[in-house]
Amino acid sequence: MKTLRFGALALALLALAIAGCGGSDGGGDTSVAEAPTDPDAPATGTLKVFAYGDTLVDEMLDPFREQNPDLDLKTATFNSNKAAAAKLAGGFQADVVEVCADEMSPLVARSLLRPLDPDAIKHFDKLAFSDAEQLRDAEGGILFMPASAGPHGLIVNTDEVQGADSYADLFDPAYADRAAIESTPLTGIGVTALSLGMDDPMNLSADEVEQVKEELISKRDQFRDFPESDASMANLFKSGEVVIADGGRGTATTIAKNGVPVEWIAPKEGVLSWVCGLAITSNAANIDAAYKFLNYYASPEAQAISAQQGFIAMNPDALELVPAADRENADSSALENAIPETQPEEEAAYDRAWQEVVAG
Amino acid sequence: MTGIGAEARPISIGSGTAPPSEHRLPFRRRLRRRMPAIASWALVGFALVLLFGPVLMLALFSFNDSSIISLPWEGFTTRWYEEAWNNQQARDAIVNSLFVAALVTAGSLVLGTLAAWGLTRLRFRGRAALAGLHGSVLVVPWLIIGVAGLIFFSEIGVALSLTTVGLMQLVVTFPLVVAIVSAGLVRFPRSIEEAAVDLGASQGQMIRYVVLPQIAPSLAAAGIFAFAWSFNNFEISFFTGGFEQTFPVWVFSILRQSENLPMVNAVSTVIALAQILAVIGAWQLIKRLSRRRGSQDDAIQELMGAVR
Repeated sequence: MKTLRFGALALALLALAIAGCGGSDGGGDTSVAEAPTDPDAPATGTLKVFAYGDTLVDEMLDPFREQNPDLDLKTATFNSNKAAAAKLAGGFQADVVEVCADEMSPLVARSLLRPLDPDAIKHFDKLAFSDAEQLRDAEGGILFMPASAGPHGLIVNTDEVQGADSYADLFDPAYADRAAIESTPLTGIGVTALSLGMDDPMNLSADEVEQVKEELISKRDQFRDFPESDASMANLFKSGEVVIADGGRGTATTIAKNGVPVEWIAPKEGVLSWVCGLAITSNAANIDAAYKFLNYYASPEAQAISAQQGFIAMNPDALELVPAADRENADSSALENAIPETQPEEEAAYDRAWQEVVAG
Repeated sequence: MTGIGAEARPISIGSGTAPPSEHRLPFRRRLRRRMPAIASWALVGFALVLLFGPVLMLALFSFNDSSIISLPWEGFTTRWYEEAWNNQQARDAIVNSLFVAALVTAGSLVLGTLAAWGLTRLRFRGRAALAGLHGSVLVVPWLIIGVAGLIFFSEIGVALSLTTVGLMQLVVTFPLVVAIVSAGLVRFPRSIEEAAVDLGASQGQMIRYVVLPQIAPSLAAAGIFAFAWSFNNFEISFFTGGFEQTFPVWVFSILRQSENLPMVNAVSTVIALAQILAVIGAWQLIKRLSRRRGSQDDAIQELMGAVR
């Protein structure tokens, strides 16, 4: 047993030593990625894209492949930006990486992204959130091109709830034990902060987080559950246990498709929204092809396909290409004045507070 | 009728008075007598429900005509299976996982058996330390192994691929084979090997005709575990994989959207069913091999050998 422990310790130390040798930061180029000299030329060589699995579906990629027959497109997937950052920092080479504003700090902290040249992306200015500060680094460099988003507001059962238009309705005693809040610290604390009149829910001070926490704990009996996934939220609406909750428009659509009379509402305090997009990595080898890929994703044609996958069409020009059945969900006007979900400075305070709320 | 109550009456010798048969006993006494059997079955049933209940629920809901995994039942459908079948990424990921798992299993069995032979049959300085080093890999988290593998391959300039996934999975899987096969070799008396050599067998013949048949059940058991470990591995596959993803990596990457759940559910049901059938097949193989070599150990003992 002693020998086993010694061996385990030796291996763990060896692994940590190896990790310490090469895993500190990206070590790549962090200057602005230069625009291609001939933007219209078909891309060649190899392009390596690292993204969430549902971003890299063939429906989206096949037209790009057809437009660039001499390009070898390789794709790899991850399940969080944290995991992606760990892999890139460890030496994995990719040209394009998907970035989400609410979890991008590991990528930024390790200098794994190259700022973009917006002039190299034809439709950049038309994209929703393209002027958001949250996309930029401290020097104003654009870290990623927004390519998908999802508004987060209220979901109500229209048979049971009438006239709801505020996050404060989640706390209405009329819905005691029939309300729910998604179990995500950022949105859970965020929507409660908005209901209390705080106007910058992604940047609360530690004291404000504490105030929000006290509000939630004092009204703990109001909430039937804090579901941890869209599927759990859908289950609660379907079983009738919950009639009002915070949530995304996509979740509301899923619930409605399953026969529950629900409506998604943009609350008067403002809509929250997750924002994800594409960035060029600091160790990218094929910058021209990377810009080609970003241009394709920003195009109305690609955004129309994205809308048919259940996302918002970030480029409003795409709306006329979207089938009528998907047009309402695809309409990016739902994102007007939306508050992008970003990693707060007091993230640890958000997490701790939310854990206390859920624990009761 | 072959139940407990239908057992043959005991034959009395000498006394002339037979003990009362089971059905003549009062109900309470019969119940008390059967209580251990009933409790055993209840315990086994409870454990089975705990272990397989969630899997069975997922299997059941993979046929539910709803994208929400909950009651009420919305009707029977096979559309999630059709979606999964038509998903090229899912098919590629499964094929990749099968390919890697097959290679890792074969490599682990060869390397693990050689190592087990050396550790149990040879005497050399540092043998205990070497055995400990093998075993220690089994307790190091796969996450650390995966990250270390990624940095190692990056430092030596090897591009990540299914090959690097297989190599790092081999690192964590073959010590398991060493443990299981070593247990089989330790239980196998060396006197039989010596007898074979005394009777004129060469070392190669002794291993081929005496040792390998004896440890075949251990090898089969080790093969099952090695394949399952490799196929289900996420951490190492994610960090040391390149642009060809394995099944667990694909599943984790698409779970962001709840609409993908029913399709994942359907694929997972098929995978789980295939793994159960593979285990049953291997189990039968182990039993047959055990019988053929005249072993006193049953299949469970073969599998538990490594633990002992």
